[in-house]
Amino acid sequence: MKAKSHLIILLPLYFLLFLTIFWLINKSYIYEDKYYLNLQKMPILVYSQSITKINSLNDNLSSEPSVSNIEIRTNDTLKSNLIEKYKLQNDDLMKKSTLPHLMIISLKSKEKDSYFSLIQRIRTDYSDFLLDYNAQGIEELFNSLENFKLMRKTFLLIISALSFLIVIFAQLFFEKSNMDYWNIYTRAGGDRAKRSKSFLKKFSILYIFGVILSFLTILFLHDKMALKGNLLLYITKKPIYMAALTLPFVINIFSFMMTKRMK
Amino acid sequence: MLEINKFELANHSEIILEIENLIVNAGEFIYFLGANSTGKSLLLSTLAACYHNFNGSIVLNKKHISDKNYNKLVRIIHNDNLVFPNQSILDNIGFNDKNKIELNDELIDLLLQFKIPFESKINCSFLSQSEIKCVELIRAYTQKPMMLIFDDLDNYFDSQQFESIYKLLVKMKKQGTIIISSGKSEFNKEKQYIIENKGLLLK
Repeated sequence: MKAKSHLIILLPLYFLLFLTIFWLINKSYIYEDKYYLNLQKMPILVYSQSITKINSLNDNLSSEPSVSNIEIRTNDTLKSNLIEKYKLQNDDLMKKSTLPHLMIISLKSKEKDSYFSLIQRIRTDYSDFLLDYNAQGIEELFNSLENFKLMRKTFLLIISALSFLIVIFAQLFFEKSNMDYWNIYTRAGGDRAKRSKSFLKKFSILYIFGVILSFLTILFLHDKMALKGNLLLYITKKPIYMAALTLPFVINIFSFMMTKRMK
Repeated sequence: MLEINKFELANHSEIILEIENLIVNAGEFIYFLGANSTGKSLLLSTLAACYHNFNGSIVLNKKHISDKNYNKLVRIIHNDNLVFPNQSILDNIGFNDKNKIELNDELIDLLLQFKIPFESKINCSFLSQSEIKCVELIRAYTQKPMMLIFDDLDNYFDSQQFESIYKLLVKMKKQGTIIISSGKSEFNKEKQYIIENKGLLLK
């Protein structure tokens, strides 16, 4: 295969591979959101006879980032709902009894710990409250979510390694298929530095547009809007991304030196 | 001017040629003669900076052979064909230029002299061995080197081509190009060196 056509085939293939991966990652985030929707379907129910305390808890939780929604139902509303639902208009017991007030806390937390720490906080600060929550369901949901995240991370690592292999082999094949051309070129008196220059030019394009943009997109998709912050700080905090971003350059410089020596 | 000093040429680890001192002035045409395996081709490749297993100093127009610009001053026509077979003749001639070479009167004249077809459709794979060597020579001429090296000049050309080549080489000599060749010395009797007993003798 000629070097030129080799690169023409390889570049779209490389982008196609990355586009597919990004699409899959994007889908995985959409799928992850379903877990959080399921979490919202498992709210914490807080029962109390004191509306003042319920309101005070409401005030405390209003600034809590892991809480998505709070709904308060007073005992009167609850009673009238029950009477209406079960047609208990003539039931004396129902008329006489006092129901507690109800607070429904829906959560959007992405961590299991914050969910349980919130429950613990309510228990400590409001010891007379009666709490109802699906501990087992939440445990199962977060376990399944953790497995899903681990699977995605492994997939990402394998694909990153694969893409690097593609780039490295592309580089090797490209150089190998160009060997005859450069042999004639240099021996016929061509500019000896041209090979290194064109090599750098072509592969910088491949690296800058291929690898770096790909990884920036991965970063973007991984933590969604994380790029709004200080990117450099973000990359340095995550050594895996730092390695991923610098490795192509190291390989590039190394290959460049190798081809210089080969001449 | 080409200056060779305290030169020792080795093939693997064995020294095959020693030159104490050799000076070739601009516009000179010299010939290296000798039996097979005396190191003629290796010496020419060394002068063209294509072979590096030697000791001593080679300086061309104040540029040492180790200088990165040295090879820009030298053009060599090797035994093997150094043309891009899938490219046209004009593309081969102007391969090192940033812009495509223009088909000017001088170039047309040269191509006609050497009877080389220069239609863009014809690529170098259609040419005969002697025609390819002519293309290489024209390419070297258009690059205006300080030194032109031929490996076995007499091997490829017929008598008609010789005449055209001689005219071109004389033109290059007048421009100050040093021409060095190896072969059977049919072509030029100006200055001939015989490589014998690992040394160089002026004939």
